[in-house]
Amino acid sequence: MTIYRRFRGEHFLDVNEDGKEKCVSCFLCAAACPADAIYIEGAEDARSYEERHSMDHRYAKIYQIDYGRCILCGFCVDACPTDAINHGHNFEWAVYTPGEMVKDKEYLLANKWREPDVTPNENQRHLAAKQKMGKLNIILK
Amino acid sequence: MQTKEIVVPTSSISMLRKPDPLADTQMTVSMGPQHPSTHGVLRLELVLDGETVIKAVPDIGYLHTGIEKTMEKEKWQQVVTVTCRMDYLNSMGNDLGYCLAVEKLMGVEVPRRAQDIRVLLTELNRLASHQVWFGTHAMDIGGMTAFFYAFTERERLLDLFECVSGARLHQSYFIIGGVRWELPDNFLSLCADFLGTYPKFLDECRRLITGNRIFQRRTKGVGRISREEAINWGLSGPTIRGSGVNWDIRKAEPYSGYDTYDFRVPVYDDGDVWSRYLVRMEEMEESWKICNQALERLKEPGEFMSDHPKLKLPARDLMKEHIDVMIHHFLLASEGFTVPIGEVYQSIESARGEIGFYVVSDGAERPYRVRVRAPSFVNLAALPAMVEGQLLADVVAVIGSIDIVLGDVDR
Repeated sequence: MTIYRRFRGEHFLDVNEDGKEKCVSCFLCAAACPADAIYIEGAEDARSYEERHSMDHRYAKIYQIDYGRCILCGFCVDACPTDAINHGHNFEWAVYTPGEMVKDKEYLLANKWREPDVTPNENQRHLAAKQKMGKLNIILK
Repeated sequence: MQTKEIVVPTSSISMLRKPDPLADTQMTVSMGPQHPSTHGVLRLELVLDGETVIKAVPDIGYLHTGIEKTMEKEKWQQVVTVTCRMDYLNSMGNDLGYCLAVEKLMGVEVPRRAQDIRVLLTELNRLASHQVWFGTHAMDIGGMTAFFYAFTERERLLDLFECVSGARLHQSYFIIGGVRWELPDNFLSLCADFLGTYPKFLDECRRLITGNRIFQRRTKGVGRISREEAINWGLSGPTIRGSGVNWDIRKAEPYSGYDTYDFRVPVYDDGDVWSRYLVRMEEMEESWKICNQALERLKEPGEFMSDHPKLKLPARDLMKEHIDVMIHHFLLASEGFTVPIGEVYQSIESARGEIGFYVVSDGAERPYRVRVRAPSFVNLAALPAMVEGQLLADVVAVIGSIDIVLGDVDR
């Protein structure tokens, strides 16, 4: 299956080259969302850079996207000031119950490693190893 | 002797006549909302005498989504995500109409190249929409094959939309002030490939359907609406051009630089299903011509977005470096921008006819009211005038010929 690079599929949350989450919980994606699909709870992490989750002191304690509401317009991606949220290329997301449509932060972070053109570096390898899902069976053009 | 006047009620006179079992037997048939040839969830209440339609009453509202009300809740720049969901076969056209209306209200000048991109994509979308019409119209009348041809070709168009905007149906690619991103590098060559083979496809379509005797018998003289009636009903688009009225917003009130393109508006005089078929078939050819001209212009570089400071999001590298640019970005993305107080009406020629946006602003960051003049709604209102007196089987042919989209009718 070939998919265009710009295709707006299921989101993924990005990490930087040290494996730290790029999301600093600024709520801008939730504000830009026309469908109110994004729910965030922010928190402070006073630890040093090596120990904490995010690349800043602020991080998202809860980050949920409700795909029952999401219309995949991409306004959150345009709004994000740290390039944390991106559109992936997954489009196979049928579920059995409405509750499963709400995707949490762990899932969205793992989604990055499913992208066909993403390969983790040394620092990100442990993150990539955590996720069980295999690479998406698509070719980007 | 006084004779007593006998008053016989008229109903009993008819009873005295020899009864004709077939006369005056009217039957009410509810056609839809699950009827496949009503192109969505349209319900028609048909009063039939035998096979002749005496009266037809369209019953709409099954696909009412409250989009006009939703627009009042969204910020100005977010509204494009719902406008494309009204007439989902012509989503680029809807976005264009809304954006042009707000740009008119704000007095924003859209760059030349952005206008050309908009023209190219709306015309490609008109092709996609007409292909759906072509396939389903032929299928309603009984020709299954055309559907597959039309949808295979439409798939290539949707691929082009995916390439340029990331979505196949609900692109939300046009925003107020221009378009969201620059065209991808390979888009122009992909588009040229598509347009190069398109005349062959149109020729196939013509050989498949236009010369077909059954199709002609089913459409010629069916669903006739005269020139005067068409004007009085307020029809627009290919439906009115099939009745001999030369009315096209692209020519009458040009927008996005349509006056600089060389194209013809096909008009046929008969006012029947066949005329409307011919109008749309020729319109596809004219749209193809416009696409080629737009493609030629897009080879020159230019701006894809107005540099109005309130409309264009700041460059990402600047935004990450400077805190003041970051604050500007935050304000634009979260609060949006305000539009001067006023009201404006802007209409464009969608694939179905004149789609108009009446936008009222009270100076806030959200529209006060957006009223949509939907072409399908107005064209559907004239359906009873077209089908009354016709046969039941012709009703589906007429519905196909006015090419309604129920998402547009009910909004």
